[in-house]
Amino acid sequence: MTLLTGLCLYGSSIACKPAQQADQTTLLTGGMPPAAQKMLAGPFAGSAADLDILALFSIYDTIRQQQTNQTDLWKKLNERLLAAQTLDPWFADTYRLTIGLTAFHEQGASTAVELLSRGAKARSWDWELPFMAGYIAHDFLHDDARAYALMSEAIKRPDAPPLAVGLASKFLQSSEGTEASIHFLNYLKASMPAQYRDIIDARIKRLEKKRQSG
Amino acid sequence: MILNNIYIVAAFTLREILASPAFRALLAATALFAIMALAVSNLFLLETVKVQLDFLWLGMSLLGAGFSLFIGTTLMGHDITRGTASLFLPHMDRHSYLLGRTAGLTLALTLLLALMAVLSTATVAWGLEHALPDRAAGISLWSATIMGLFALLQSATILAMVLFTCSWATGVVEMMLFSSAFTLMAYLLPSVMSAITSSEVIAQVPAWSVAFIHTIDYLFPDMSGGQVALCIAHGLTLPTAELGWYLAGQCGYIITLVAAALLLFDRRDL
Amino acid sequence: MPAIVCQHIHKSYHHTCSLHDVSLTLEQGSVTGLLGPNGAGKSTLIKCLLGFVKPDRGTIITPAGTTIGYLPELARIPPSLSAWKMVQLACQLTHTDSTDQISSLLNTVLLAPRHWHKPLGTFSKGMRQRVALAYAIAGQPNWLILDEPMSGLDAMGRRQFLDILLDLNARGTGMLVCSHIVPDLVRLCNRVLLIHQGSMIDTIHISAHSMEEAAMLENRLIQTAGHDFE
Repeated sequence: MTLLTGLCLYGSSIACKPAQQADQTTLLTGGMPPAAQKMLAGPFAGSAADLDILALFSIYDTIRQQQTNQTDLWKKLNERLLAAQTLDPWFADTYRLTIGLTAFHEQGASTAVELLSRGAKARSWDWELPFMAGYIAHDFLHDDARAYALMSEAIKRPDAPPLAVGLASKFLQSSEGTEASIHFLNYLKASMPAQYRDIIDARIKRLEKKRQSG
Repeated sequence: MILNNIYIVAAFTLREILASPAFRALLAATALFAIMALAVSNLFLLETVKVQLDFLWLGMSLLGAGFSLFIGTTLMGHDITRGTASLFLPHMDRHSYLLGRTAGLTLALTLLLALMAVLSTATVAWGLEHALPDRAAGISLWSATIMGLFALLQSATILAMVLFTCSWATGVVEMMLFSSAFTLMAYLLPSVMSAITSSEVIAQVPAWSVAFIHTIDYLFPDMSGGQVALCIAHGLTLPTAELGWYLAGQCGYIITLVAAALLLFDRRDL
Repeated sequence: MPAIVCQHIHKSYHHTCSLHDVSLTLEQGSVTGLLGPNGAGKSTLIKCLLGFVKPDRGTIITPAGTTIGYLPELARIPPSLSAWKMVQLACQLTHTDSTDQISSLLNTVLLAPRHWHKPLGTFSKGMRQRVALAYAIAGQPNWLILDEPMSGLDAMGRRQFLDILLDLNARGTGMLVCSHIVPDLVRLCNRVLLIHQGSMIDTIHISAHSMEEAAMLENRLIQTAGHDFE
């Protein structure tokens, strides 16, 4: 009888419990400031970062379903990304989600650039992070000086695409003028591997033509 | 003669632990952690093998700590409070007895983590087979094994803390309470220290308190193996010199604590 | 073989005196009983003799070559271990490990061979106590120290246990027995030391091993314990 009463109570509580909102989700150290999370996670920073990313999935799911009060949810999402990065600065999924979710949201672009710039320092072998950070800085923040600095960082890294050279020169041209951009390309021509030279030459010719016409 | 006694106690300890339901539950939990690592990693987009390794490291560390804190403390506590030690001590000196117990516990811990390492290697092999190209660079089948060795070293450090605590504490509850508190502090101190000793904070506090904080930090073992595990999970190259000093430091700490435990156990009433 | 001698033993736990100036001599081959109310200091004295507890003052002289077997009042033995494995462990520790020796010890304590390989967890208290005795007498010690060996045993079990101990004594094993059961002590011992509040208050020599002696000893114990309530 006691067992039955207990089971009835427990069962009815499960049946009547409202669906949990993703913004209430607290996994491991969830919801705490990144520094506190890092302290509490101790030697399990990797797993704690993974759990932050899992929590982020559920926050994003709520954003998609919920039409109102999205600003708060986006703030929480950004906090989770920041926490995941603080815990494990090498984790590629954090940056993949930063690029995929945050960067294209009106309040998220500057956070994305910030996160990707810091990630670029940790993942020193990865050209994608400074490349994407530079692109977002140009396209969403219209900060070409920063975009140029990030793109020129991407160029220095192994396997960076030739497109990065063109973009870096474009950003420099827009922030510092055509002359600076030509100088930058001439410098690159001397320092970059041979396969980049044709693209650099073509870009220099275009800029010189523009300078002469303008 | 002494070695023979140590061997006999170690074999008895191993047999005793293997027969205990708690140890069997820990052995079963190794499979649970491997399955959990596989399940969770499937939710991620790019670095799935890294996620697997994160959870395998969590499993290894929790199993090692759980073994030391629950099985180690209970065994030593019963030895002292329920007279198991009195079966051996008329035939050998206390040093041989404690060393035999330590050896037996270490063997059982090694067995547990070896099983976890084998299952982890199988999980990583599956993960590498299904990982996206270039998203598991630097990770090999050995990664889980190396992680297992680190987990063994850290768990052995916790075991040494347990032995040290049991050598002076009275009663199983007291032993477990102090051992758990020391372990928790050892795990959390490195990250707390790095936060407290950051340049902004350190500028605000007097020099003597900084020295005090450092002294407390030195009393506890360096449990920053988690950073090493994170490097392994990302397939990054481990800095050899730092690693060497870390290993030397851990071994030195273990030897010091076991020696202190021997000295205290020799003097205590049973 | 010279005697085991304890001189002026003092021991305190947390400022509470447990043993106060206790001296005794244990002659080889004799059976000495330790009798006293709960908390009198009997177990502490035994633990001092075995080296489990360090006395605060006093000396314990154990002659070279003395081997002591010990039967604790309470020892947690892994329940999955068989009687055979348990006794084998004692034989390994005393370097007398052989199949014949283990069989002989288990026969000495009257344990039927069908129980030898069963786990100790399935044994009755009396059977476990006899296995513990087999463990204690492995390696043929000159001395046997027994702490409450017959507590919790039924009449049949006590009788069997006493017979085994008397047989061992007949073969030359000296014994120090700590017990609350006065008739058993009278049957087994040559003398009984009465201990109260950590001090040795009386030595009673047992000659007839009779019921009268048991009654006298019991009265003496009740008188001693009665003082605590006055």
